[in-house]
Formats: sequence, structure tokens, C-alpha cells
Amino acid sequence: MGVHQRIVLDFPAGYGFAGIAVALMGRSHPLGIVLASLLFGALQQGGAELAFDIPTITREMVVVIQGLVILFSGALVHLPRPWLQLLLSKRVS
Amino acid sequence: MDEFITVILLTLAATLRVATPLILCAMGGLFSERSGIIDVGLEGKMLMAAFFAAATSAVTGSAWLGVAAGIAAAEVMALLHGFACITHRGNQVVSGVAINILAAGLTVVLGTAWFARGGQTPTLETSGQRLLPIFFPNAGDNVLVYAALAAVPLTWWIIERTRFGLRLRAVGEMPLAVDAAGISVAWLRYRAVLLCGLFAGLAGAYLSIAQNASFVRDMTAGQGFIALAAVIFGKWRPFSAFGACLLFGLLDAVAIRMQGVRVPGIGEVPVQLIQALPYLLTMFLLAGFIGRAVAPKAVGVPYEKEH
Repeated sequence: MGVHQRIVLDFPAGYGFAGIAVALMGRSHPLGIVLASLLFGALQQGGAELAFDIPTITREMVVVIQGLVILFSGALVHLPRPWLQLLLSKRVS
Repeated sequence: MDEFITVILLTLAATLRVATPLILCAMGGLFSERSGIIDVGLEGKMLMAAFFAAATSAVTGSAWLGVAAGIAAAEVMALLHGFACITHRGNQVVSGVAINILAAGLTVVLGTAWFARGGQTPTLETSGQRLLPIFFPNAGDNVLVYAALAAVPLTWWIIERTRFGLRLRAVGEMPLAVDAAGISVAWLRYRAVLLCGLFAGLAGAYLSIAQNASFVRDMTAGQGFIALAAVIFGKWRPFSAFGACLLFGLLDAVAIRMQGVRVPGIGEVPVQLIQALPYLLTMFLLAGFIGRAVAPKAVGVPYEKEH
């Protein structure tokens, strides 16, 4: 109602799923969810404007990048843990 | 009377055609879920497989190479899921969602770059590039339909009757016990995830080179999620999940047949209503009639070895 002023067929267009990802990336913490949703909003809007300005960048590339962001910052958060541990323990000693 | 029988037979054939990708996908999901790995990414795996199957078949002219490429693509996604969820103990739902979004974007980007048709692959020729019906030319009974039918008892046998299946179930219920017995939890779960990729790959290949003649963007249209619903609806058992897939397939086939048909006494039923039926059914039946669906205990929980 606020954005479109009417109901458009399939208008949520994946918002629900992005919502799941946002909630989980925010570690189910209200503040985290606000931050995560800001990140997603930036990705979506920034992607749309990039696609508008540069014709060779399509909307789907933006989708790919979103997927990669979710993958690396959501599902693979533990990936850099060993290196970080090594780095931090070196600092301490 | 003859006409009536023809309609029934046509509807049944359509049911099987629509249900085939669901059955294959559901069997894949079953392996993964029984081992304790939630697989929301079925949809994405299927989409990737559909794209690579159609693309390979269009370029090489061989449907079988297409199927192989489809399976390979789904396996890559499955390994990614496994890498995130098993090796790095990431959140399984997030990883699944990431795979879905990645597949939705990547298939179109690659499709546009390779074929320049707005994400579609070129239309496949009937001979050689597609899997064709074996016995009944009009029923669409290609190899993968029979493979799906064979996959159900096979899945049941593997899960219920083999040593691997026993361990698979154990790792989904209580990974600690499996680890204590000296069996690698990670390797078991990786094998389950790879099996899942195999079936999802077959399902995707079926969509693009058997049921249809090209890859179209977002062609899976939520079927991965329906397969996932079928797994839950069938209480994580192969034959029950198979029944659920057939039910969903039947509803879909009826929905297609009901378009514009006037039901006596009711009038024209909106197609959208029938299309919504599988989801409504899952909700209602799970809520009250079928009884509690008990998931494998360790599903969704990454296993962490105590140090």
C-alpha cells in the first residue's frame, strides 16, 4: 500500500525468501536483522541502479552477487575462523 | 464411456509426467534430510541441472551428455551446500537459500552470455537432443519417468535395508553415537548430500530435456519446494513421499485439465484455486489428519566434535 498503492500480481517477488535469509543472517537478533535488511536493501537498490546505468550489467548479475553475499556472509561465516584465530593468537603472544 | 476412459488415462499419464521431477527431487531430499542436513536448496540444484542439461544437449547434440552435465551441475551445488553445512557448520537454511538465489541468477547470466536469448537455451531438436518416450509416443514415458519410479523402492531399500542406510538414519538422529562408534559423521553426510545432488540433477535434466525442449528462466517454478513439502508430508519415508508427490502431481494435472471446464452445479472453478490446493492440503492434513510429522532428531543441527 505504501509503495505500489495497489496489489500487483506476484509483487512480493522473493521478498519472503530474502526475509528468511535476512533473519538468519541477523543471527535472529532484532538489531542484527535491521543491519542485515539494510545490507539487502542496499544490494537491491544499488543493483537496480547499476543495471540502469550500465547496460552490460544485468539484473541477474545483481541476483548472483546477492546469492554470493548470502553464501559467504551467511552460510560460510566460519570459513575464516582458523586464520583469524591464528592471527589473533599471534597478536596476543 | 470410451471418452471417459480416455480422459482418465490422459490425466493419469499427465500426473506421472508432472510428478516425475517431484519424485526424483523428493528422493534426493529424503537422503539429505535423513542424514540431518536440511535441503532448502533443492530448487536451486534442480534449476542449475536443468540449465546445464539443456545447454550441453544443445551444444553437443547428445541428450545423455546433457543428463550427465545436469547431474554434475547439481553435484557442484550439493558439494557447496555440504562444504558450507558439514565442513564449516554453517546454517543449513541460509546455505539453501543462497544456493536458490545463486542458481536463479547464474542460470540466466550464463544463458544470456552463451546463447544471447534472454536466458533461454536454443530449442532442442526432437531426435537425439531430447529424451523420448519409450513405449507410448503420446504419454511422454521417457527413461527418467521409469527411473523415478525405480528410485522409490531403491531409496527405501538403501535407507531401510543396507548398512549405509542404517548409519545414515543414525547420523540423522544422533550423530554423537555414530561418531562414538568410530564412523565419520562428515563423510556419511557428504555421501547423503551427493546422493541428493544426483537425484536433483536427474529431476532438473528431466525438466529441460525431457518434459520441455529448452531451458526457460526460473523453469522449476517452486517444484523443489513442493518436493520438500512432499518429503515432510510423507514423514521422511520414501513410499509416503512418493504418494504425496503423486497426489501433488494429480492435483496439478487436474488443474491443467480443469482450465475453462464448467463443473455441473458449481460453474467454472478458478485455476488458481486448484493450483493452491497442494499447499492447502499439506497445511490441513499435516495440521490435523495425518498426525505429527516427526523429523529426524538431528536435522538442521551441525555436528561439532567435542575436543
